[in-house]
Amino acid sequence: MEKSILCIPVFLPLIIGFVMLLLPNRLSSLFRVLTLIISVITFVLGIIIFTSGGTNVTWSIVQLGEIKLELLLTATPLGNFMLLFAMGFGLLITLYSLKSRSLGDDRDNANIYYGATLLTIGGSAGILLSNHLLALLIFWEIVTVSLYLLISTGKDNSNFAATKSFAMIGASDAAFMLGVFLVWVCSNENIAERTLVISSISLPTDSVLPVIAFLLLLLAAITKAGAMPLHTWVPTSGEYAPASVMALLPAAIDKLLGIYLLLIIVKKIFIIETAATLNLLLAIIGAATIIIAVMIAMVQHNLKKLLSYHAVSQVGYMILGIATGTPIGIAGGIFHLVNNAIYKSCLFLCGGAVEQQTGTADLEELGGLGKKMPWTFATCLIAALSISGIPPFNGFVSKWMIYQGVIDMASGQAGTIAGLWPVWLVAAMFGSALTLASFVKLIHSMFLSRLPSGLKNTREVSALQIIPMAILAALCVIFGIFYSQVPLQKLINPLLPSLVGENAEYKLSLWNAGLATVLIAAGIGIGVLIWLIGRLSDKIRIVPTWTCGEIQENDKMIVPGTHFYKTVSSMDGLKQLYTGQSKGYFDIYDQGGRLAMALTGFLRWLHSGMLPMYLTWLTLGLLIVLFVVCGIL
Amino acid sequence: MIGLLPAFVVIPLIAAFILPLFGKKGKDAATILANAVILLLLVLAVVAVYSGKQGIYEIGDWSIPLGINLVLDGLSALMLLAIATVATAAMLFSARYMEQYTAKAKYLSLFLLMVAGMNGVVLSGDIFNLFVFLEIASLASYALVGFGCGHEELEASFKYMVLGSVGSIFILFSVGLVYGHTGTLNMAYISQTIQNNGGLNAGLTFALALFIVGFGLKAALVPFHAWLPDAHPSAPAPISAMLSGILIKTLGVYALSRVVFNIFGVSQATGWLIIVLGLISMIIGAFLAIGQEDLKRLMAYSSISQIGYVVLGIGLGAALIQKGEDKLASLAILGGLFHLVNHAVYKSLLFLNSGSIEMATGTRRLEQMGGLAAKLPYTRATCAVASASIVGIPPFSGFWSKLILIIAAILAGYYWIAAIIVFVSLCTLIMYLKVHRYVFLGQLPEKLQNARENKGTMLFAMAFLACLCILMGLLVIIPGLKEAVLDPAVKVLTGGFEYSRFVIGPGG
Repeated sequence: MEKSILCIPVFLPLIIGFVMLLLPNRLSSLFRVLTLIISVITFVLGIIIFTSGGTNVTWSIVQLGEIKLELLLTATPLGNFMLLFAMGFGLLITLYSLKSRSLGDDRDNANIYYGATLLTIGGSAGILLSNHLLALLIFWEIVTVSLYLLISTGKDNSNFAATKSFAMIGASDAAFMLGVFLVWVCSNENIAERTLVISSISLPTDSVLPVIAFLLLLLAAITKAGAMPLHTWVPTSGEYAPASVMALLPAAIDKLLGIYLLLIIVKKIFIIETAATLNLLLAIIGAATIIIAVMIAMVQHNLKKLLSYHAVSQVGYMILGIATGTPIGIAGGIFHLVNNAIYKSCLFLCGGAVEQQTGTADLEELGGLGKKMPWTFATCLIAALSISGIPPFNGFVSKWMIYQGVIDMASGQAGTIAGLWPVWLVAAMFGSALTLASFVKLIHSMFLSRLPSGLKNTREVSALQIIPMAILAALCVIFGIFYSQVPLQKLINPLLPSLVGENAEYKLSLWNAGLATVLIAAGIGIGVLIWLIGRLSDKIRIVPTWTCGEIQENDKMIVPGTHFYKTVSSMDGLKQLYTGQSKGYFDIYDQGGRLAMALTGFLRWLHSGMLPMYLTWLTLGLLIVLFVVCGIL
Repeated sequence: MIGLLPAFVVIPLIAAFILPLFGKKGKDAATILANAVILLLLVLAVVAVYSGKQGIYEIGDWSIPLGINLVLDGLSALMLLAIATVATAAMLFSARYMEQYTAKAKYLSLFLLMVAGMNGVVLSGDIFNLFVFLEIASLASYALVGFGCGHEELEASFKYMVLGSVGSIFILFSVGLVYGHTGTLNMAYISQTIQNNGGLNAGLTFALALFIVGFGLKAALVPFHAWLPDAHPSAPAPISAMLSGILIKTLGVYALSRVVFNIFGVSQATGWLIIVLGLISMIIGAFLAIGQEDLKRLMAYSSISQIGYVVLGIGLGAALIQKGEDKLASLAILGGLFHLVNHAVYKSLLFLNSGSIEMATGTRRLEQMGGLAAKLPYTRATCAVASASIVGIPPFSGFWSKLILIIAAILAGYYWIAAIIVFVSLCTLIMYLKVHRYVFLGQLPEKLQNARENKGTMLFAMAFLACLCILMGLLVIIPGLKEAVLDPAVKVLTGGFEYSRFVIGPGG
C-alpha cells in the first residue's frame, strides 16, 4: 500500500475508534481530547483533499475466485465534496458533545460514544473515497454499526430504537451486498473481465438482472437516507437517541452517504436515462416522501420526533431533484443535501439544548423559552426559516433550484415523468408550505407561548454548545445570500461535469424582483384583509376569563402550539390514516415483525417437545434421504 | 509428530479415568490437572497444524488393513486444532463456573472423555473405530447434558439419548453393511474397493443414505435436529459451548464429509441433498431462534442455522466437484470449513457469555434481564464481538466465511443460494440484536441491582475467544496463513479418492 494522504482520514479514526471501544470508561477525558484532535485532523485533511486531491491508493486485500477485494481509494470530485462536509459535521458534533455529554449522567458510555463517533468519521471517509464496491460496502456496514452503538448510548427506550435502526439498515445492507454481486455479474460477459471498480462500470438497464441490481442498491441508498417507505427508523431513533447523535448521523452523515450512493448508482454505475420507469419510480419516492412525511410531522407532539419526520421529508427534495436528471435539478438536489444537513443538524442541536436544559422534549410542556435561551432561539429560528424555504436563507435557494429542475425537465424531455411535472412541482411546493406550518407550531410551542412555571429557572447552554449551533446558523445565512458566489460556483458546479457530462451548464433564474415584490405585497395585503374582515365583522368579544371570583394561576391557560393542526388530524379520512400510522400499520419493520412472529409461532407449535413427534420427523427425513440417494426420485 | 498421534486420544482418556479418584477434597488439583491436559492437547494440535506433517500411525505396528490406523491429514489437523481451542476455553471457564455444581471431578472426567472421543473420531482411519469414538463422545455428552440433575436437564438428556441412539444405530447398521459389501473396515480400503468396483451397488447406496441420516442427526440438521434445542440449553454453559461449538461439527459435519467425499465419492444427488439440508437448517433454525425468549435456547437454534452454512458450503463443493468445477468447489468448501472453525469459536464464546450472564442473574429468560451493560461490561464486550462475528460484520471472522460462501454461490451461478445466505444473515442479525436489546441495554430490573460479573478464569476464557474472533479474519487476508491452515483441509475434501492413495501408499 502506497503512502497517501487519502489513507489517513479513513484509517486513523477507524483504528483509534476501535481501540477506544475496547477501553474502559474511566478514560473519558482522554477520549474527548483524542476525538477532538482526530476530528480536527480529518477536517483539515478533508479541506486539503478537496482543494488538491491525493494520490490513489491500491491495496489488494484478498482474491476469492474471480472476485477481488481491493481497497482502492480515489479522490473524485463528488466524493471530495461530500467528504469536506462529512468531516466538517464530524468536527462540529464532537465540539457540541464535549460539553453536553459531561453534563449528563451518561458517563457510562463514554467509550462507546466517542469510539463510535470516530468509527462514523472514518467509515464515511472510507465510503466517500472508495472506488471499489465491495470495500465501499464494508465501510458502509461500519457506519451502520456505529449508528447502532451511538443510538444505544441514549436513555430509556433507546435499546428499542437502536435495534430497529440496525435491523432496518441491516436489511438494506443485505440488499446492498446482493446488489453489489449482481453488478459484478452484469459488468461484463467475460468472467475474467468482470469488475467491481466503480469508475469502470456502466450498465444499461434494459434487462432483468441489472434492474434487480439497481433496485437492490436503491433500497440501500434510500434506507440510509431515510426516504419513504423505509424511513421508519429515523423517527423512532429521533425520539429516543441523544440529540447530538441525531444531528450527526440521521440528519447529516447518513443523508450525505445515502444520497452519495444514490448519485453513484444513478449517474455512474447504471445508465437509467433510457429506463423511464426507474426514473419515474425515483420521482414518485421523492414526491411521496416530501408530502407524507411532512403531513405526519405536523401533528407530532415530541420535539425530536417532529424534527425527524422533517429529516425524512427533506430527503424527498433531494431524490426528486436527482430524478429530474437536469443539471439544475441535480445541482439543486446536491445543494439541498448540504443545506439540509446544515439546518437539520442545527435544529437537532437546538432541540438537544432545550431538552438538556428543561429535561423534556414534549412540546406541551415547553414554552416561552425565547427569553431564557436567546441564542438557541435565534439559531433555531434561522434554521426553521431555512428549512421552510423562506428567502434569503439557503433552503429557499436549493428548493427553488429543484422547482426549476422540474420545470426544465418538463420542457426538455418527453415521457411520463416529464408529463407529470405539475404533480412533482405541486408536491414540492405544497410540502414546503406544510413545513413552514409545522415550524410555526414548533417555534411557538418552544420559544413563544407562555413559560410554564416549572421552567422558570431554565438557563442558556454553555458557549461550547452555542458555537456549533451559531456556525451552522451562520452557514444558513451565508449559503442563502451568497448562494451563487460561495456554494454553487466554488463547491457544486465543479463537480457537475462528472455527473451529467459536458453540458453541465445551467442558468439559474432566481426571481424577477418586481413581480415577486408585487406578489408578496399582494399576499400580505390579502392576509391583512382577512384579519380586518374578521375583526370588523364584530363577532368576537374579548372579555377577561370569568373565574367566579377565585384567583387562579393556571399554567394550562395558554395557546398550546400542539393544538394548531388538530383540525387536520381529526379530519375524516386523514384521521384514520393518522391513527394507523401511529399504530405502525405502515411500518415495514412492525409488519415484518408480526409476520416473522406468526411464522415462528407456527414452527414453535411444531416443536411440542414430544419425543414421538420428533421420531416421526426423523423417519420422514430418513425416507426422503433414501429416495434421493438411492435415485428413486 | 506422527508418533505422537495416539497421545491425542490416550492422554485425555487416561486423565479421564484418573480424575474421579480425586474426590471432593482434591477438587482443585483435579481442575489443574484437567486444564493442563487440555492445554497440552492445544499445544500438540498447534504443532500438528504448524508442522504441516501428514501421515499414518499404525497401532501396535499391525499394518493395515489388518490393524487399526490413525490418519493425520489437513482436515484432521484443522479439526484437532478447533477441538483443542474450544476445549481450552471451556475448561478454563469451568474452573470457576462448575463450582456451582457438586461432583466437579466427575464432570471433568466426562469432559475429557468427550474430548478423547472427538479426537478419536477425527483421527481414526477405521470406520468401526470412528463409530466407537463417536459413541464415547456421545455417551459422555448425554451424561453431561443431564449433569444438573434437575427435572429439565434429565428430560433433555433422555430425549437427546433416545434420538442420539437412533442416529448411532443407523451409523452402526451402515458400518455393518459396508463391511458386508467390501470386506474391510479400513476407510481407505473401503474407498479403494468402491473405486475398483466402479461405483456403488445397491447395498452401499443404502449404507450411504443411512450414514447421511446418522451423521446428519449428530450434526443437528433439520429435520433431524429436534434433540438439540432441549439438550444444548440444559447443559452447563461450558458444555453447551462444547456441544454447540465443536461436538456437532466433529460427530456430524466432519464425519459426514469424510464419508461422502473420501469414502463413497460425491455425486450430484448427494451434493444437492446436502445443500438442501443445509438451506432448510439455515432458514428454519433462524426463524425458530428469533422467537425464543430463553437466551440459551435462542443460541441453540442459532447453532442449527449456522451448521446449515457449514453444510451448505460442503454440499455446494460436492455438487461443483461433480460438475468438474474444481476451483469453485474448493472455494465453496473453503467457505464451509472456515465457517466451521469460526462458528466453533464464536458460538462457544456466546455460550460462555450466557453462562456468565446466568451466573450473575440466576435466570435465562430474556424478559427478566436488562441494562446489564453497566454490571457486566466485559461479558458485554466479548458478547458484542461474538455477535458481530456470527452476524457477519466486517472485519470480524464470520464476515469472511460468509463472504466466501456468497461469492462461491455467485460464481457458481446460484444467485438464489446467495440470496438465502444473505437473508439468513439478516435473521441472525435480528436475533442477536434481540439478545443485546434485552440483556445488555434498557432498564436494569430491581432484582438485578446486585448482579456482579465474575472475573478471573471465566473472563480470561471469554477474552481468549474474543481475540480469536477478531483475529481469525486474518486467516484469509494474510497470504501465507490460508495456505498453511485452511487449504490443506480443503484439499483433503476436493481430493476425494486421493485419500485412499494417501493412506495405502502408491504401491497399494
